[in-house]
Amino acid sequence: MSQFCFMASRDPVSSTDSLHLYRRAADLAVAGERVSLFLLQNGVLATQSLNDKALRQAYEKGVSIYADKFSLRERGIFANELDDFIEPLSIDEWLRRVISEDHPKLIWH
Amino acid sequence: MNNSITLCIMDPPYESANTTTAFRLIDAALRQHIEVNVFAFEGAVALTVKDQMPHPNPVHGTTVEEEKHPTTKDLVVSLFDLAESMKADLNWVNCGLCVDERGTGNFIDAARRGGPPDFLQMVQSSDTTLVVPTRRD
Repeated sequence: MSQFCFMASRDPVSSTDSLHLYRRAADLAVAGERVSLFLLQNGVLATQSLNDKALRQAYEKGVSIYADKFSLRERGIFANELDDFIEPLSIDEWLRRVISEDHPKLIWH
Repeated sequence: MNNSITLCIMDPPYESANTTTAFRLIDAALRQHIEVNVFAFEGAVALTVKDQMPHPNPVHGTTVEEEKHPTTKDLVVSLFDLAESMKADLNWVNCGLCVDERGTGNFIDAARRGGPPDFLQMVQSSDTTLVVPTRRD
């Protein structure tokens, strides 16, 4: 079983292909791969929009969803505003938990 | 435990949040004693140009000293300083063709000139690779 980590840096409202990224992540999870999605930069705005629904669908299909704390803070988004399935992580924590332990294939978007 | 990561970055300085994220990632990795390889491609070769100068801000009426404008060159130098203090390796290669095209050959001493074969070697020797492309819509 492989592991993939998609790094979603774009605002899904202005970059609608972000939704395709979430769906591809979900497809891989359904296929049996271990997949995570790390929202960062304007990608964290997905937690505040209607696209939150697409994130939830990906989560329900087995994708772990993380959001960069620094990017959240820059945009005035507080952890208590996030849905339960979205876990805020610092880039240090992300490196330790996702990168150092699993050596995933990283895909930047 | 992961002990090496390769980043390919392509954005020129002062234009993209991708650069900030790349610097944050390099900083965090070095603090965890992870070896970091950076292949600066296309516009990213300008990140390390020595001639970069901080500037005052006439709109705010601030001097150079008051403005404390950070240059990407100084930020990269500080990453090398961090690597030394953490006893972690930071290797920075600027793509030579990209340098020649842009006339950015006067870069900091810690960086070196190279090419795609260096990137291949970095990828093959690293546990993880991240390519951060410039945005093309």
